[in-house]
Amino acid sequence: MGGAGGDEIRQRSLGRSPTKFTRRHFLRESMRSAAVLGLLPSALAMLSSGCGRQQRGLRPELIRGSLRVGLEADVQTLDPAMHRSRTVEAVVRNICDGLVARDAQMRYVPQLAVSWTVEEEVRWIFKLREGVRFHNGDAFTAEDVKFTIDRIIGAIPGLAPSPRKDLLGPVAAAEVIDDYTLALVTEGPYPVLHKKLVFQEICPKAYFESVGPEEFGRKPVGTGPFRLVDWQPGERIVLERFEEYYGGSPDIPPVGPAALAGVIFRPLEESATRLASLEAKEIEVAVQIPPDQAERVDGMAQARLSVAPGTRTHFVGLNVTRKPFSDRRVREAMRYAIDPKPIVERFLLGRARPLPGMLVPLAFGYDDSLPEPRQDVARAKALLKEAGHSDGIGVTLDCEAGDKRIAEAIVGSMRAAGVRAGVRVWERGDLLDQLRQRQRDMFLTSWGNSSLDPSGILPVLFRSDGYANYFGYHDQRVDRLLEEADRSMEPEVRARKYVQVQGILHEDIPTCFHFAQEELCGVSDGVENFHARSDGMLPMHDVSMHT
Amino acid sequence: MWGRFLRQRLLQLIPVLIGVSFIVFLTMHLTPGDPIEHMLGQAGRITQEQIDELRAHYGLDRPLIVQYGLFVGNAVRGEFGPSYSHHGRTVRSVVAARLPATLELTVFAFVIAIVFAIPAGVIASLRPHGLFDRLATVGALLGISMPGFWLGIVLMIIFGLQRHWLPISGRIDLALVPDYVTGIHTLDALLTANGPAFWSALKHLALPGVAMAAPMAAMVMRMVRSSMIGVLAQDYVQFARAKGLPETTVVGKHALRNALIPTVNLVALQTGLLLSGNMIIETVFQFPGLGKLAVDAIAAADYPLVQAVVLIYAVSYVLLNLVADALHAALDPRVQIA
Repeated sequence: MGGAGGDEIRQRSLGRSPTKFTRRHFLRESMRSAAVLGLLPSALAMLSSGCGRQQRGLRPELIRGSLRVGLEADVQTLDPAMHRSRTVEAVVRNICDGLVARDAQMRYVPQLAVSWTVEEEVRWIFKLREGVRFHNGDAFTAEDVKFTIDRIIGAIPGLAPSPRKDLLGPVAAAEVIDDYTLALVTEGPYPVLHKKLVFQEICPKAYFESVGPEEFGRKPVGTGPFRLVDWQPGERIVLERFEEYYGGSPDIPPVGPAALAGVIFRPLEESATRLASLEAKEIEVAVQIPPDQAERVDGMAQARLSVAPGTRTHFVGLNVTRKPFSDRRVREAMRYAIDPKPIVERFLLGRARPLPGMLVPLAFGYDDSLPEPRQDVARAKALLKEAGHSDGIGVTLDCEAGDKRIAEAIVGSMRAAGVRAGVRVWERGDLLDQLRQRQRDMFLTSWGNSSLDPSGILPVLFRSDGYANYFGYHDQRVDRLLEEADRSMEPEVRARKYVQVQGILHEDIPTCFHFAQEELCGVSDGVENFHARSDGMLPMHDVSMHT
Repeated sequence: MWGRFLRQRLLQLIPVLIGVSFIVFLTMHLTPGDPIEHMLGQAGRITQEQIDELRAHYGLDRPLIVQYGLFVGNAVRGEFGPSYSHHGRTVRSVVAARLPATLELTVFAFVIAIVFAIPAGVIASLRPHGLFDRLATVGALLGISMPGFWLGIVLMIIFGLQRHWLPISGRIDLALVPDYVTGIHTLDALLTANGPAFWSALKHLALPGVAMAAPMAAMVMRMVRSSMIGVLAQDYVQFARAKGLPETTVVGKHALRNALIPTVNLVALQTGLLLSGNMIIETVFQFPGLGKLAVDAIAAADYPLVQAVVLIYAVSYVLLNLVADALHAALDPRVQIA
């Protein structure tokens, strides 16, 4: 552009304003804005300090003596009552103890409770441990337990509802009897209350009330073996040994303060990064190793794999209200069409276990008489023929993106039996919407049941009014048996009823292929007493480390 | 004049923000997926009653237009209400905790890209098709075509796992965290005169910074090179040489300034991309910034959090363009700000 063009622009602008903006102006203004920008750090500091994030450097000796753990997900809060995340729970469980805990074999043991009895089926009397202190020095009493329970069941007005409410089932009230005795009252018998209490960690009432919910979620205080030192969201959670720890459950020895000086949890969501960090010795424990990476950990010179059976059941569900799966014979054909072997061995690299039904073997009331799943092409073909599909059938298996490979393996294995199936991959929210409206015929999804009690999985999936009854399944016997098992205080009676339900479900086949993946953790060689657990928890109290 | 320019441009921000917020709000609500369902996950004995209670608490049971009105009302006051996925925390505190990391990484990547690209572009243009130019072209091609996450992992394997020169994840050696001033570790270390912390933060920035800077450096380099070649062929450059000016003055002062004019806009756009397009790099290197936060928030249908992050991106784009226009005016005397 020549000078004339420049003049034109200038003249146009002159029409609006008498002065012009030249390079000199710019330089002058730049100097001014640089001065303003100099204020930016202090402005940022004000913003951050306004959010209560004043924090000083961490003690080097704490960092050196700490076990570093790579987590599979980020931690969004540290408030024990305000999350539904296993990762959060695994971290929080080291800061806050519960009334009840589980040992590595998933046995229920008293922790902050000493013992409990049940009166008239609906009053659970808990004797609490004496002489226990929270990290801030407050004594632990029944008031704190009442406060914790009240907050979860929504008995404290003005607080946000807890997403953990259903984990306490029909608990209606908590009554303080004396400083170290507490009653939990349920609406009707609730035989699994002690099992559900492992999911609730006790919070100090006075501290919570003095700091408020938001601050408590950032800086929780508990009675656990470690206290929180520093939490930088997305980056690290630093815990330090609590020297005045009461010692923990006597049923999980050793009793006493934790062996480690501290624990540093780091969210490393990308499994490749988690593994690389383990290999580069930036962390000592990597949780949730994907099955296809397990061998890599096994091959590392300085790390080993720790394995536990999982509690989440993955399954292929069938919509019993729509063709073709409204015909029981077609559903049974699907059971025999799928070959669990190559799926588990080749695609999950042996890091999973095919199951006969929805329950995992660790679960209470597991029916071990049900036949192991296996492929029977001839039988599948015969069943299809009997149902009028002598040329086979065409179906679509719906799944989320993360399950695509397994879905394809399932579909592939069904081909031999004349089932022409395609895989359709959905965005998660989309698929759940469709499933809840019972719009899909055949789908691969999963349901977690960390409580290992059938009451945490069978009613929600198979009762006619179950929240996740994606199958449109309705059977009055199942409804009645599940209801009775929910209300019976006799473990043997409950177990028997659950066995019956499993039998009926095995006959009715609303779900046709089940498996549970193993929990896999990568652990550096210097770490002792750390074991992967079925419930995914990471209790660090007994873990030690030598370098 | 400067004040009026700023005022005008900042006023233009308002319709942009309203438009962006409305579009984001609408798309988030049109996308299937329910925040409460995400919150509860697929485990345990969830009941419809419990879901309804949570939905009412977060106002999700109200008509869309009311929800939008509430959101705008909150946003005007700089609040975005409670986050759905970070329970018990406000969107403001969630974002404030992540902003410093993203700013730090973006500025670092920007500096690497510019420091590398402009000299490389100039040198390449001095002898087009020479050895350096060819090498630079190949480098640029690689920089543009290699996906960021792949480059990130390759860098991680070479410099982190094989050579152990650089850390592969995180922001700083935890034993060296500087005293808190801004949350930007490098800046905090400088402000508190903490050398080891500064060095550690810099080492942690190196790999993600390079992986992020590569495509931008490549594009800027190509742009500088081609405009330099154009400018160097102009008569006034010949004239400057004929006057006997030293070549460094000819290239550095007369040619480069003019060659930078088209580059400025590209740099502004690319910087916007650095800021908003870093979720993949942040995930690979576990850098706790806004990008990863945004992706997680979208997956969890955390509407207010997504809104807040997108608004931050929109504001930064507009501001970057403003800076680009100002720079443009400074470099090109024909362009004025009015």
